[in-house]
Amino acid sequence: MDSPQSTPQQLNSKAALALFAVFALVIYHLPMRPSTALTVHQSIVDALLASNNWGRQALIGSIDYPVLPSLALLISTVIGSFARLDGVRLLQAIVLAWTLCYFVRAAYYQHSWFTALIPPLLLFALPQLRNAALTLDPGWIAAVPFAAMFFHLVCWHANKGLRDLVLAGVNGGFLAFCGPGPLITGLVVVAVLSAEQRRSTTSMDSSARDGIAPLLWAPILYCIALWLLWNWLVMDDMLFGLRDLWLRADNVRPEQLQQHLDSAIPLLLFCLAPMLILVLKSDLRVIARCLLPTLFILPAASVISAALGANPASLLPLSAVAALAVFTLVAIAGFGHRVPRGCAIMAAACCAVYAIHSKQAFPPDTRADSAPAREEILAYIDQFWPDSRTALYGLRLPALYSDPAEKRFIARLDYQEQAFLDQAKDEQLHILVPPPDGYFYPLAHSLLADLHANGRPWLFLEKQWPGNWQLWRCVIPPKGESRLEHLR
Amino acid sequence: MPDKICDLTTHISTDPLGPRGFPQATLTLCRWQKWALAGAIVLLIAWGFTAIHHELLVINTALTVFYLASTLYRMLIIDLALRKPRDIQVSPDEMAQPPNGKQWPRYMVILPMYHEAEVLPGLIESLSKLDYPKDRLEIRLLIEEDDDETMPVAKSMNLQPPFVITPIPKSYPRTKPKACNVAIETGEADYLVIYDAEDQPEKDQLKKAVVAFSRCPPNVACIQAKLAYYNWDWNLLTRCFTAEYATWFGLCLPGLDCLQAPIPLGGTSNHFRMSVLRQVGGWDEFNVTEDCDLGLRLFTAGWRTRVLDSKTWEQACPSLPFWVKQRSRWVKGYIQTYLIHTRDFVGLHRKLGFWNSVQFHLLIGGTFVSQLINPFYWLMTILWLFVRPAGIDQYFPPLVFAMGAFCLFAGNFIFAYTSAIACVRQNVGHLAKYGLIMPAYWLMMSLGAWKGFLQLITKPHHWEKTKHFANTSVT
Repeated sequence: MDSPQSTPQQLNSKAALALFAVFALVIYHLPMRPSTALTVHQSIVDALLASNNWGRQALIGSIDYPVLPSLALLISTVIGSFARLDGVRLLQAIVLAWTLCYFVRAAYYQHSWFTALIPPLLLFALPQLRNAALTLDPGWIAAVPFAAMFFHLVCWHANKGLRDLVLAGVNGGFLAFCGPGPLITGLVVVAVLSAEQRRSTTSMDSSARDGIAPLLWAPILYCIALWLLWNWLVMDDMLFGLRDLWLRADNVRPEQLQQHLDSAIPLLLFCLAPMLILVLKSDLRVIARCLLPTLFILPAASVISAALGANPASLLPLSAVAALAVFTLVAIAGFGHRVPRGCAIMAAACCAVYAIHSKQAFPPDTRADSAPAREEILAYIDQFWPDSRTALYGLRLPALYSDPAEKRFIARLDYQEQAFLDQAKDEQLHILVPPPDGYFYPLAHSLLADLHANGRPWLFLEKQWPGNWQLWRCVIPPKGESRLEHLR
Repeated sequence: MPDKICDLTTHISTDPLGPRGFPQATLTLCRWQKWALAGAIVLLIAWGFTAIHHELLVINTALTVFYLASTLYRMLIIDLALRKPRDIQVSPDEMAQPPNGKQWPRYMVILPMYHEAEVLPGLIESLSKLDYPKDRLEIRLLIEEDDDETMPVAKSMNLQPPFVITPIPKSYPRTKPKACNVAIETGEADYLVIYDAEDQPEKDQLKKAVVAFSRCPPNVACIQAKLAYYNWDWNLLTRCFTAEYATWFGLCLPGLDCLQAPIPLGGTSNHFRMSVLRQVGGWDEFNVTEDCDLGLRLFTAGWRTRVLDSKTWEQACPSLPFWVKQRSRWVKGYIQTYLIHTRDFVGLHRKLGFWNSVQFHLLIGGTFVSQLINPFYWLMTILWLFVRPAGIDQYFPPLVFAMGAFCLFAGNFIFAYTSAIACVRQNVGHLAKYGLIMPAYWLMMSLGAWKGFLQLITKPHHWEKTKHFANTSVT
């Protein structure tokens, strides 16, 4: 079960390191545009660096803005500040370079340098993949464990080494911290890999497969358990991170799914053709079988998250990397006959042509654009209540009005009415409530939706903007500031 | 009785710390260590009176850094063991002929025994199966001359060569290494191996060791075979113990071998070049983990140890009280060994070099330090999880918290997960799930560690003997 000491086709570590450095350097200097998710992750990082409680809550309390991208951005921001580099770009450069190195190593493992350079060329040649690569999104961190899993699957297929099998499982586990889509991808790949491993050892001594299943499943199950534990520790509710999506699901109608289906299908479903040829006719059919479910899971997860109005956490990067994995497999697989190989190359070429002409998968959500400007809110409040702070709830809203020092805005992930009332006894407070459009909070069973519709006896609606944004003022006077006390 | 070849037990110098010419565990602490310890205690107490919060923060930071370093080091050696296994593999073809093409070298097997009458017949049967020319082999049963239990049974068995009964004279200290030193003072052999009374080595292990020595450079003085347990299925304790041994011998030692680091020898199945063993002075009879000490002594003297891919089946201690005793001896011995080798602090680091010194501290110091402080951190974790006491945050500033969280959530998992990997790698994959419950087992390890630490103060040379059970003794 052990890896051979050295494999001639394996890229040596110095070459891999040099390649990584070149990729990282080039990617760092490429022109990029920020994604919507970046704003939220950046706010979480700013809040964490300021030891802000909302940052802690936001780090673990939402499954669609998952832990790993925020943590990776935090680390790259800290390193970047020492090295005087842009943390966001640094993260993108490291992650993309790392991912590409895995693909290059996987491609080089069995073939030549020419084959090895196919993945980086494809990533920047195909518009869909290039657009994804040039979008600054901490969610790209999910590409690293996925690419690592792919690489170790290729190695395991070649040498049946225990180390590669274990690392495939461990990297599958990391996907659990990258959002619901990657989590399901990780679970399914591990399940298929487990079955494939069992199948590959059926002819051998049964003791050879003893204990493999716990090894493969332990990392991903542990990561899930950890995330639940963190939710319990920080939010006092083990399932807190799931509630938002659960409540959003109440309001989703089948037509909405249908509506998003058209934009989700493009590249991945068209990767199905070469993948099916790989599954049926190639010598890498075991790897192809492990990756096949990904081609269904990622579009499905994209459709569902779009319908829910949730952040498609890491789905775009993961889709790009899954497509790269398919192309790489086509390049390195042996088909035995010319016909299937030709078919696979044709199918991959069709995917590439389609990719060039296909539209952007998911247009960015513009619902946050109607939000009143920070200055406008503060100017209005300062007319009468210059010291008042405004409470913000949820994840996207505090990210929009990021204030890590909590000078004018105070944020919490969950709306706790009693905590707000306690705070109101100490200071004058306002609450900003976004419109009930399902973007900032779920419509069903949401306290904020109720607040927007009915207010509270102790809240006074001071201003409503045209986009249906509401600014409420708490009428409970802080201790010692009530004029009635003088009358008494 | 053959003439004495060397004088390991009676040659005594005037140095109370190293009566036989090398640092020994006759005293626990040397003079500067006593002063340093006293100074540290005074400093900590004084600091505690003046700025207890600051002191706790510094201690916590230091321990967290230590935990992080241990975790990363563990990851490194496990990865190396899996990536490029370096343990010596010997094929049956290589064993068909002696390496020199003429005859197999002379081999001496020594078996220290004390109150082992119950397992003696099984031992003789097991060793009789050794595939090695009988005229080139001598198997010495080292039995204390006042052991009224084992000696009569051994005599009644009417043992024939290569078996030889070697009575060990009653003298202080009454330890296994003392018996071993007595045994190697006489007799001619090229190689020597030590086994425990309940050991069942693979029958071709001696030949494998000879071939391995012939393939290694001359500076390899010792070859450590892997130890495994045959009674893993007796109870939960033996299952966990088996998983622990699988990790140590299946992953850690091969990983250390890859790093060419100092290897603390396991208690048995150490194959030595006899001349080198005698040259370095044999075992330290005052040290209760004389094997670990000898491994380090060989390394500092410029000799190297390699790991052989051959197993010796041992008996995992199935009884918790005896297991705790055995563990306490191991931890006591590790502390002794650490203190002995750091007596000449600068000299040690000069001999080892920077990287090997770091490995020495992490491997020998780290083992007992982590086992001793683990209970406090577990308690703190439980408090943090369930009680969340106010003020605990001040001891975990962001960077320390990040390192601590990594060690808690990732480090512990890595340690348990590697046990599971080791089980699969050592072909006891059915125990992988027990590898994953190792944290419960670590709790008992800490219990043994504290017993050993306290015993180091009260009875530093007391040998907590491991009881071996006949197969029918425990169900």
